[in-house]
Amino acid sequence: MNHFPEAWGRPRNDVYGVYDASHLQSSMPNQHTQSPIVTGTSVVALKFNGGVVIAADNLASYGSLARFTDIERLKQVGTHTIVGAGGDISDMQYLHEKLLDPLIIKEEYQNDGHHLRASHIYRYLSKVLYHRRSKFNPLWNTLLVAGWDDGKPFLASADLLGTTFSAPALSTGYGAQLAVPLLRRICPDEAAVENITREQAVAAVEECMKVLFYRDARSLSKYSLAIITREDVESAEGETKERVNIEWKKDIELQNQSWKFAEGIRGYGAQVV
Amino acid sequence: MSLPSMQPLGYDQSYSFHTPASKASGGYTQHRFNPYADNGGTIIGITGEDFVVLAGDTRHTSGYNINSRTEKKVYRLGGDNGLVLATVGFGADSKDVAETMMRAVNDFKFNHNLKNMSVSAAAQYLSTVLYNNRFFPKYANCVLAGLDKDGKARLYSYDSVGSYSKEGETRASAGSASSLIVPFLDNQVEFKNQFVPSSKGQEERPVVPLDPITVAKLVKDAFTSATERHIEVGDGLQIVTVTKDGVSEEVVDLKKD
Amino acid sequence: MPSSTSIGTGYDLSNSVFSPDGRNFQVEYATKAVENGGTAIGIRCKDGVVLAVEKLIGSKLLVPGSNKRIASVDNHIGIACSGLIPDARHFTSRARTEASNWRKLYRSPIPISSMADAMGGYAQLYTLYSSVRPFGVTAIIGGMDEAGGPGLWMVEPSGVGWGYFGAATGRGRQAAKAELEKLPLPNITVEEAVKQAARIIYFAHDDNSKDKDFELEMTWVRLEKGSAEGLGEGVSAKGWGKHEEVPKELVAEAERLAKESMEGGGDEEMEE
Repeated sequence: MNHFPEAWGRPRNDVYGVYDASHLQSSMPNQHTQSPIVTGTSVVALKFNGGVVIAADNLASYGSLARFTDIERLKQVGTHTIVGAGGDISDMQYLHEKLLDPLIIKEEYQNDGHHLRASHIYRYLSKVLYHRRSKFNPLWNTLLVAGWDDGKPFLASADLLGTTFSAPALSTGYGAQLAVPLLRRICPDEAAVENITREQAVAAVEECMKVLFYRDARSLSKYSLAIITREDVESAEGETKERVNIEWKKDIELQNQSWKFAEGIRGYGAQVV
Repeated sequence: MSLPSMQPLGYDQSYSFHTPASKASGGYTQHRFNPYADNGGTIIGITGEDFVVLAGDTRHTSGYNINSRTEKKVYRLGGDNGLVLATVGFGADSKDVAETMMRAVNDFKFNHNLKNMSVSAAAQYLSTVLYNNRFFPKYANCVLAGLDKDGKARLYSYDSVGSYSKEGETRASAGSASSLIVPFLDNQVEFKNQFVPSSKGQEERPVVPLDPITVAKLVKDAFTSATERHIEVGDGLQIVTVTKDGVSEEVVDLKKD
Repeated sequence: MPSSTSIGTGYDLSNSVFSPDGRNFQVEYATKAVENGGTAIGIRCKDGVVLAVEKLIGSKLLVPGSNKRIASVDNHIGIACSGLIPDARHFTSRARTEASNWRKLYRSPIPISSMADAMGGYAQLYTLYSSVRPFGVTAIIGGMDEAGGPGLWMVEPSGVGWGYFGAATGRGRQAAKAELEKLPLPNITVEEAVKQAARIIYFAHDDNSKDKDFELEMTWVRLEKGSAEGLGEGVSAKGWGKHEEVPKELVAEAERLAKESMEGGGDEEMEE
């Protein structure tokens, strides 16, 4: 038995070798993120007549390990916006807790009835992401920003490189391959948005979440969905005002799964024929 | 810059997130964050005597994915100065360069008693911006256009570290399908390899400034052809025309396949 | 009051010097500055807090509603100030920093008592050194937190900060305090308090600065679905409230009632 308490509970040098403390040294160069650690997979979103619907599952993976199964990757930012994040979860939490939350609080100091809208949040995030990639210290995320902006539904994407684009149907990660083609069937372009009802949009996104669960090994059957719509509120002075309404559906379990298609798959596992 | 399509098919759609691991000389495997991506697309510019056209497709890609069919690449640098800039390459750098130029042109106006920046000054400024970033280049290929003080069309094109010709050009193209379009413009704008029919190939066809209708046709032909042959070009075509009366824009469809 | 005894003694010139009888005259002068400011009051209710100020208007050229005197320092806290406006601006700016730092450190909004504590400590620092002067500000800090529910605190130039059911400062504080004491605090609702606050500000104004123009500025802190329903006597609502301006129509109604009571009040006195 070792009689030095500071050595108790530590790996024994004679068994495991001397602990390599080189990574603790402060003289080491600064380390920047070179790859994500705990990650979220796809975020799926679609515009419809009068709003946007956005969804992401609740899984945070550690490599191929399903590490956390109750992670919320959609978050409301201010009154008009939902930000959905794929990629590194700690970077997502940094974005929200250290950047967006204080930003929103500061915006509310004025108390002037002005709120940051989806396009403002989106532009801010794009600039942060591009700035960080330009410092070779990226925030390892792909973000979808969904919300209401200036009388129109808003949906746009920004990634760790600062690449930005907008379309009426968007998805990050595997969703870009699997979900976007499905969504584009009902929403090929901006003009089509007008003819899509809220119910159709939600159903399409739910279908995408199912397809993603079938084919994406880093996905989960439990997910969250948020629907951003606009409603007219009549104020006491009799003027109609626009108000943004965000409806949440959390802990949704995928319904009506059918794995029949899997029987037709050949080339994996133990089957011989 | 090699096209993603020239590399073997990867199953990871976020291929641009990674530089493939490489073996360094010491035998170590190096992993490194790659700050660049190629978002595809093509731009062109053609001048006439007193007008200039800049055009770009509106497809935005990552590898084999089409991110958006409606991302414009041609930017007006001010409300009333007739300066237009088209950028293509890495989307984030392209937008950053465009915004830098918009801000510079706007600042110039306020700093010079509401006089607009001349097109030659804007051209030199853009070169300086790109050159100042030469050790971490903006992967943005630019074509800048406008009318000079005599109302004559000016067109400048740049490489990603700011090289450009002060004299300007009559036509330019950049982006993924530029290698398809440049020879076409050589032939149709500069009349390269065209001869006076009666001269039996001895006398080159004289170069004359093109009229707006011909230019519009050339732009559309160039892009429909590029759309056929290049997977990163298509969806929509944004055509911006600068004349003495101002700047006008139209967007026409291209094939979406 | 310091003036008669302190002037010429030399003990009133420096912040860090006590007078022989143990007073800091600089602090007392700062308090004087506050006493000349527009009246500010705070009312603690069972379902929230109401802040109101009498904003004296120095010029008709000022845009109505501009130069706010009640500041939001976090989602759930407001600060109403009386005294030197630039001092108040700095004071609230510090409060915002405190709130933001608390969130960074603890991942939760700052409790009202902690905010009052921090700001009391900050004000007190400005009584210790000869290189600075105290804040010419008395701040009424109102908010609503998860553990304590509605909280109302008043921090004075000396750094002293006490909790109140009803707080008043500024020129009309005496009249306002007298009125506040008549209310069954904290067993009223925010809606009732809005009317009372308006009335008290009008009353205090009438008492002290009748010749000057003023604007009534009023905010509240309450839960999103703020309602006092089901809360028994002495039980207050709990949760992180939201600090915001009282809706225009409610202020208008409260002001109408306030003006009415002023006229009515005059008659009553005549009858007596």
